[in-house]
Amino acid sequence: MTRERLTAALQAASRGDDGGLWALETLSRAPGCLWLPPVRTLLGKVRTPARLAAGDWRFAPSRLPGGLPAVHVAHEVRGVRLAESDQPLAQCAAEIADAVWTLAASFGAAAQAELDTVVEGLERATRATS
Amino acid sequence: MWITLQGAPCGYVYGVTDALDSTAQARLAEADRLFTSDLSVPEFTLLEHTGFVPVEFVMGVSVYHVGFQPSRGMAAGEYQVLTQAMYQARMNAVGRLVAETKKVAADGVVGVQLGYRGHGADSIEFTAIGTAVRRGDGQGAGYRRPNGEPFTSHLGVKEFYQLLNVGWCPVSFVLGTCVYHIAVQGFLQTIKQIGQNTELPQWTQGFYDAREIAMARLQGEAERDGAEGVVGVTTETKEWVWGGHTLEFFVAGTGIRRISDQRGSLPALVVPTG
Repeated sequence: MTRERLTAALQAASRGDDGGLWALETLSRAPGCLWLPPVRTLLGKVRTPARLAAGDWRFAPSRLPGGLPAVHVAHEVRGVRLAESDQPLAQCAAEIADAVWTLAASFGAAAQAELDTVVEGLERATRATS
Repeated sequence: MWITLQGAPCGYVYGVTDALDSTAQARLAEADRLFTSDLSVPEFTLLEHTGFVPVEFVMGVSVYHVGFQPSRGMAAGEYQVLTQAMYQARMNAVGRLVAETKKVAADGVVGVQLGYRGHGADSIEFTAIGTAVRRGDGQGAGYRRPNGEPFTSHLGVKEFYQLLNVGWCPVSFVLGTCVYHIAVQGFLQTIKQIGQNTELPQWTQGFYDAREIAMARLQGEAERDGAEGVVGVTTETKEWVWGGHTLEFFVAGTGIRRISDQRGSLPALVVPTG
């Protein structure tokens, strides 16, 4: 059930301000997930934006042509990017939920319970901002 | 000089813009007037028995400049800049092939072949060709990938037929690549092996490490695309233009999934008597 709830929470968040991209950082509290800071050039320009790492998946705030908020979805294995795309959060919510849920499931029941708590927090935050 | 990767919003699976080449659009818009294919005559006749029909000969091309890769000195390890370049170039070519497949509303591509040739000292051209096919009864949705994208496969029609006959279907043509620097052998070890039958452990280990990394990526692609297994795996090791002590371990296969409980029938023995 958590996977479906997480998908629904992300889709609800996507209807809010900035396309719900703030939810990505929230998910870094999920078991096994990391919020990776932006990588900057020597002159301080952002070369790689901050992103959520969930197993082999990387999700970073992005924009579509026209300026619509989007998530840059990248699949990496052993440091090499195998596939990537830019999609609105509503469109890739299931994919993000699947990556996060699968990672928690690999750690066991305690981690899945911890993920439940993160999802509840995300749901509360989404209700508060809507 | 650094590699500039395709940064445009891109087709999800293949990591490259899936915008169809403009010169192909006009021709592909009239694809249903006449089918084209790279099928042989036996393959064409066998394809009919799969329930699929050929739609179009599809292609994707990418000529790619490989950027600067800092040296690893004497240490073993992956050249990730080179690996990413090789991956991106191949994915560009396959992604464009898929874009053409979608344009002609096909359900998948069979017989995908990857070709390559060098362009100078540090540029490589990759081409991907295949035959886009469509289910003749309009029921192709059940054969597409779980995400609705057309399936891709490097299997020929004969293998495609055999797969369908036992209830399986191709999902995607999956790749794994690793460009690896083999550690340089020490002077003492070189002295010890003069005139001896002996293994070169750094080369052996380098091959194993490169294979493991490449296979992990192939497996990652297959899992991502919803395959249950990979068949027809082929491997290739090349130095390309990077000189000694560097090899690329390239592995490719087709991810497959079960779509029915059909088990097929064993071939019957035929004895000519006349």
